[in-house]
Amino acid sequence: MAKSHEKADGISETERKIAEQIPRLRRYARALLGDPVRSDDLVQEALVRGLSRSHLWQPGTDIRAWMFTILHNIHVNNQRQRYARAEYQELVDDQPEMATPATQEQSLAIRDLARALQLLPEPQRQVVLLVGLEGMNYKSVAAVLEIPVGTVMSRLHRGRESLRRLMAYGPPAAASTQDNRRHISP
Amino acid sequence: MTTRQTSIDEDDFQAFVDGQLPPERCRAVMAYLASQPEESARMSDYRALCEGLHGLYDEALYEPLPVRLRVDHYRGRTYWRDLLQRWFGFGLFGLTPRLVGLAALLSASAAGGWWMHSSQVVVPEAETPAMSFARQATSAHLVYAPDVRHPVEFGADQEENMLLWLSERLGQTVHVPRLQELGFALVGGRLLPAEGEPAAQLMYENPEAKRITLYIRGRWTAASPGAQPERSVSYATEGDVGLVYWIEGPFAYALIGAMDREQLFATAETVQQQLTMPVIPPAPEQTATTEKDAT
Repeated sequence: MAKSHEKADGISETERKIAEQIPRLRRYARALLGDPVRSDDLVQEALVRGLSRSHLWQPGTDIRAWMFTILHNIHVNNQRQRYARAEYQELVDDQPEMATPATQEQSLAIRDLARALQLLPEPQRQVVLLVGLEGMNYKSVAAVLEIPVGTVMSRLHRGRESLRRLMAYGPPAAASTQDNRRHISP
Repeated sequence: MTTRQTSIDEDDFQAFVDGQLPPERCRAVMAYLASQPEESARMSDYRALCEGLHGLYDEALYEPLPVRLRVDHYRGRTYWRDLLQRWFGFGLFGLTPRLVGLAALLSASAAGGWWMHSSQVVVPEAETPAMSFARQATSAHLVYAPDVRHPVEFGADQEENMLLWLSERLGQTVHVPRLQELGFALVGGRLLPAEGEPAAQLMYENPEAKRITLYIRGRWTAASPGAQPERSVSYATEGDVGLVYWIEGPFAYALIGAMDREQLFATAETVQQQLTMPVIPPAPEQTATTEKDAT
């Protein structure tokens, strides 16, 4: 175990910086997975890995992007295993009806946002959240997700447009979340 | 002036929504949107989505961390007693602001402010628009003013961008009052969700690191038509934080800070003066509207 420069309380500067990222990682993971317990599991894994590799972080570079990259990589690995179970599909299939008076549209819409978000294809959800919730710039998002900036932009557009449609018209018949840009007539 | 690209593509729109466009380009997009109500509505929808996301998930930022998510948990040398001591001693990661934020969120939640979090929350009917406005303004102050790391979304160095964005979002030109004379410099500002509507918070700080915030939101419609509290200024306190609020033009304003009543009123007056007579008037041709209310 390599010891890095420690302060009086036994926590190194890098570790302290990592610790500062935890609340944001938590927020992102919770929005991404839609489940507080599983998302804390993910953050914990990222924290442990980040701490064990803290000597690899280059001081002066963006530690936030670094931690988000770690979290993302762990998530991708976990996803591969979890896809075997059809957990993801449940979310798509489990769509209650929309029988609510129009006067409640606004508050309903925001409540439904959590659900609409989970209906997005995950690559779009990641981008929408990193940009719209975490306020990352496009270059950082591209670095975290290891995709070109152009892909960030197109996913962002598609993701937002899907969300907008979901919010305006309610969930579609389960399958059509993948390509629904451009035919909007408000 | 210079030849700028006239074609605006989807990437520009997205970057516009995210405040990631340079001011020049931002203006071009705004000019374009002015003639395109559908596209403009789409931009508003996108921003509303961002606000909605914050409304849903920002709570996670202020929750106390479980031990398994704390760095010292993995240090091996730290005992449970130390953990607890640090936890309650607020020593480590700026827990105090976080707890203050949590407390604000909880009180907002108790009053129905967290309505968007759960479909089961019942909003009490008794609260008047003015009360809810004051509550939102105070909560926003309590959450962000103590924040050391991210008190604002836009720093004072990005003032121009911030103003463009806030004005676009709030649907009216937002002015930033200058409070240097009172010793307060602009820290920056942010956009906030206020029960489904956009609100803006501007933050100022004096050399003693005391912070005050100016909260701006669209005005509410008067309960009884005709009886508009046009120039009345109200005062409220919450703990050691005081709040002065009033309606001016299209907006309702609240000035919040840990100051006594007189100081707060004096500061509010300075703010008010500058709002009625902005330092840089936007359109010098229209002088008719500025003289309307000189009591």
